[in-house]
Amino acid sequence: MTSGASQRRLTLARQRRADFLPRLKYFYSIRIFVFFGPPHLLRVWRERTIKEIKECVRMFEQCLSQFCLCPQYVPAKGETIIGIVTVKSGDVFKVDFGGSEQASLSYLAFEGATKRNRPNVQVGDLVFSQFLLANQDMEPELVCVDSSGRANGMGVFGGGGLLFTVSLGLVRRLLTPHSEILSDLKQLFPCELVMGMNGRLWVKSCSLQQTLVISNLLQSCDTMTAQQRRELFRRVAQGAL
Amino acid sequence: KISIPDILTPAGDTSVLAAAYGPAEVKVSKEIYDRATLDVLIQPKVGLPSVRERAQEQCVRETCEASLLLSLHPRSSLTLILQLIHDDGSILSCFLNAACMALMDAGLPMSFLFCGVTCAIDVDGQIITDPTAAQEKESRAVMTFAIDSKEHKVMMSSTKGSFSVNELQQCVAVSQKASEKIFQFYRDSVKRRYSKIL
Repeated sequence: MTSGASQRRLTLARQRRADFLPRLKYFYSIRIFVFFGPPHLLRVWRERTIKEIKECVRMFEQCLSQFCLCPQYVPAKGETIIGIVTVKSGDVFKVDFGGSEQASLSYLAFEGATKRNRPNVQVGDLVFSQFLLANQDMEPELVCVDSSGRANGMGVFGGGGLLFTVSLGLVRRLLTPHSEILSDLKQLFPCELVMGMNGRLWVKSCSLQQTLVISNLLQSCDTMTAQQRRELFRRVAQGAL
Repeated sequence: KISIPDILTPAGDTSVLAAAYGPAEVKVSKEIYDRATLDVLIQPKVGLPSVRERAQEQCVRETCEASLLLSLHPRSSLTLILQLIHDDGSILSCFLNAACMALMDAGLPMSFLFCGVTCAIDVDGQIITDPTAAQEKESRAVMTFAIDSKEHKVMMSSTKGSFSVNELQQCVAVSQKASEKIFQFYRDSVKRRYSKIL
């Protein structure tokens, strides 16, 4: 009745279920209701539920990673990051973003790039791009265009600025809509700031000294309370550093 | 996630330095398609790791693999390095405690925590927890248990010497009681570490 291929798929689904069911009891809010119906639908429904549980755990891990002091970035679809090009091989660049493996960036994934008109990307360049494909089973893929084909701020950048790393929690705090730290920073020096959700920040200001001051301020914001931070910014505004 | 190394001294002067790295790239020969590869390296104080360290590594690795959620990072590697600083008895339980704290500190997802407790039965039949090296030498049997934090069940046991079944059960009960103190220590350490953020 069931052919060989669908039987193999059934055993795989059963294996994956066996892998996850012991962990289900730790997620008290998720209940699986056994669903009686045609075998094909039942199989599809169960596989989807396991994927949803995996997603829940990953989101939970992501939420908690911002409170960890030295977290590792785990890629997620749609997040914009700062990556460093490490390998340029044929049609694909390999980009290091601080995750467990390097992401691939196709040369066609830039605005206005065609086979004849290749983008000017060298090894060691900084790219601001977003994840097109980011799950734990496959190699992550980056693109420097949005869904309509426009760059929207993404692409190669980096002349004359400073790249440094901060914790993931700080970047998320900086990216909230009315971030206090950013509004305090705006009143200090005019600067260009690129924020990658993998914990990398790039800053460029009028002079080298101001660039260094801003990078030091942002790195120290990690471990300061709001009060201490305002105090520090006030001292800098008065010209202490 | 690189964890700042933790030094743990549960039993007198025994000290271990633990560091957890990962998830990182893994060699194709070692990669597992659906879960992370856990490597535990135990470095002795003097010399190169030998067979004894390999046996201890296996105990620690089996315990960690049971508690980590490895399938969230397929084809990646997690490395745990345990450096022995001073050995004054109860060394395997010290390794287990240090390993658990390093994994917690690195933020690696685990389904429960675990701790190690060592019991020694001396010639009179007395049960001593966390024996020193001198006590271990004079005792009739030395047992190490890894206890999990959810149900306080034994995850791993490593025993040396001769003892009866009754004595084994008594040691397990004593270890389960002692493990509560170690979990409380974990909670206090984590609270102190994150007190500025939370």
